[in-house]
Amino acid sequence: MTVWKSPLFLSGFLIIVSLFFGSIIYSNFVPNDKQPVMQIRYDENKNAIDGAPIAPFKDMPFGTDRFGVSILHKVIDGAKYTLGVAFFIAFARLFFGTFLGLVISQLPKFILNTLSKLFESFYYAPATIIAYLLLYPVLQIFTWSLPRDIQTIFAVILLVIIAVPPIMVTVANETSKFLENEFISSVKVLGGSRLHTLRKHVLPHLRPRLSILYSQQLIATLLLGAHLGILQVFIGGTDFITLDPLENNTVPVAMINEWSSMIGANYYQIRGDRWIVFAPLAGFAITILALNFMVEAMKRQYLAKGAYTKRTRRVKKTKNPVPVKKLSQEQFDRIMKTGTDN
Amino acid sequence: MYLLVLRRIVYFLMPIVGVFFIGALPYLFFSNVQGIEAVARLLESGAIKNALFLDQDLGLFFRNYLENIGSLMLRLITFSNVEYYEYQQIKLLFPTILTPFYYSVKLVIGAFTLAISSSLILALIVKTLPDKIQKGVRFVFFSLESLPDIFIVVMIQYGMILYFRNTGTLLFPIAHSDQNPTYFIPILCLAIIPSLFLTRTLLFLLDDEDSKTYVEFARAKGLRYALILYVHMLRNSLFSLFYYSKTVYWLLISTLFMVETIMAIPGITDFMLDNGPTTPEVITVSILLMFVPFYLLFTGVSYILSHKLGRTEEEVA
Repeated sequence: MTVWKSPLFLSGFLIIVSLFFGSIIYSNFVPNDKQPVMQIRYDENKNAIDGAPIAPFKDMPFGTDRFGVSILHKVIDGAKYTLGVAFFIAFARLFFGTFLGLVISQLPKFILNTLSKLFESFYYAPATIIAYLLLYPVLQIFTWSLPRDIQTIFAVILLVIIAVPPIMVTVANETSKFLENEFISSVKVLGGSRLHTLRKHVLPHLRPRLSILYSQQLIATLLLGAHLGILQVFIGGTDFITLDPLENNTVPVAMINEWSSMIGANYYQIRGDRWIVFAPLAGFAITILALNFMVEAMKRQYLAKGAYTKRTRRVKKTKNPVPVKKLSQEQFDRIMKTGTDN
Repeated sequence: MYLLVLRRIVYFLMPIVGVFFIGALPYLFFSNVQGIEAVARLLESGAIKNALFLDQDLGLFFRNYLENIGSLMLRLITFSNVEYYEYQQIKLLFPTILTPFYYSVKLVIGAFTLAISSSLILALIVKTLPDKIQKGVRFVFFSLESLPDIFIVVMIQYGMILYFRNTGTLLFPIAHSDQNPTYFIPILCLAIIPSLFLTRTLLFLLDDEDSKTYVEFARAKGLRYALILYVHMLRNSLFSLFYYSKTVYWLLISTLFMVETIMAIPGITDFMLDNGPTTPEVITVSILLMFVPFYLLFTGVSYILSHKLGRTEEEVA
């Protein structure tokens, strides 16, 4: 596991871990009912100088939203939802994708060819539109006919399903290419069954690639979530708040402090109160940057030439200097006269 | 022989069929897709106040799904029109969809040319820099490329606003209006990530080219490195760059959603998002409109390349 020594990987990993666990620990100490709220800001002479949404200043480093809640609190609190959901979805995608991919790689070749051609369309129809097409009706149009938890479960299942076909095809292609290696026929000759080949040869080969794929799926999930947030589809669930009862001015409000819904629900405020949108956006940017660092470091480590052969730990050979014989004057003279032969 | 040709044709048509399978997905999961449209119509006409009347079940409805794919395919093959619902009237899809489609095509083609040309210039500049600076520049490019596309779009838009506030002159229009259609800023936003991606790929290919014997030979003859780079290495790696156009297309299309939503541009993705949930056929038709020309071009060129150069996609990409 030499990837742990790469500074690129370590920095990315530390950022992700500290964001996720920092968020969990933080919300243990500051639960949502104790969140810092400031509706009106006064100066020293008790004059009101700013009302919610308050611009960033010393007490509220990222300002507040329109209800006076500190954005910093919301962003830190929301990290665990956003990252947690992404961890889960990416894992489920990879799990099912790998399983199905391994199954397909064992089937006749034309099935793999047909499927990989058929699912090529997933590259041309971006995941955003597929997810929007299926989630928007559920989360926005007929929200009343379905209970809330079913909506969320459906959303999560859907976000898993739409990425399974491409992963499946990638894994199957990688596996069937690997199975063409010459030593695989030796494995068969020596009596290794299919299951044995998969477990002892294919999986160790796939493992580094899967860890790269996992990080890439994390990035894809986060981006998809952010896109859906801009399109007003919130995975965490949507509530509607009527601001102005007379004018029927209703705005969608996210139910939890999840980043993508924070961006989406407040996007219309970007021209006036930009900090509300910028803070979660910066959170996304930092997370995705950190994940990309990890991917790059792993790619350099694993996909370099000859990465498959197991590296034995290099034993450092200490070279002792050859001891020099100290010659006496007499010996020296003799050698100079006769040479070393005699 | 006939079998081989038939198989080629089937494989060629497969991705297009796949688009139909994607577009009809709502029929697979929802029991009552037509109901969404009907309720939307009633809501807009004011006959009902909310969508409580919509009886909808989630599940897997394979019969519905396949029937709809079949009927849409039949309609498109026979060139009969597709209907969709907007603003309390049933409209025909075909003349209406073309205006947003042309707008988006202009944006995509503009962004594509911008990305290609800027990546060529950037890659050649970076390649001739001294090694130490090159390493730093490459890292900066890589970091910029890994930023999420929304972040870049929002930052560019906000940067324009900031410039306008401080100087009082609006460099380029940042949002669309019918009198004043915007082109430059959306094209810039679209092109940034693809051009960084292309630059990185081109640098990678050029590095690969570096180790080949003809470069060593040319240098041994006393040719300047810049000359070899501009003439020979570039020419050789451009062919390989072509195979990455698939990824570039994907990057462009997925950013197009964000650009069109954020800048209020009435392009094809905006059209899809507006009418997709009520009539899923709109999605299928729009994806096909964007995808089929590109796909034909890509397949044609890669066929020619593989015949002329004797290389296949797998070997290069």
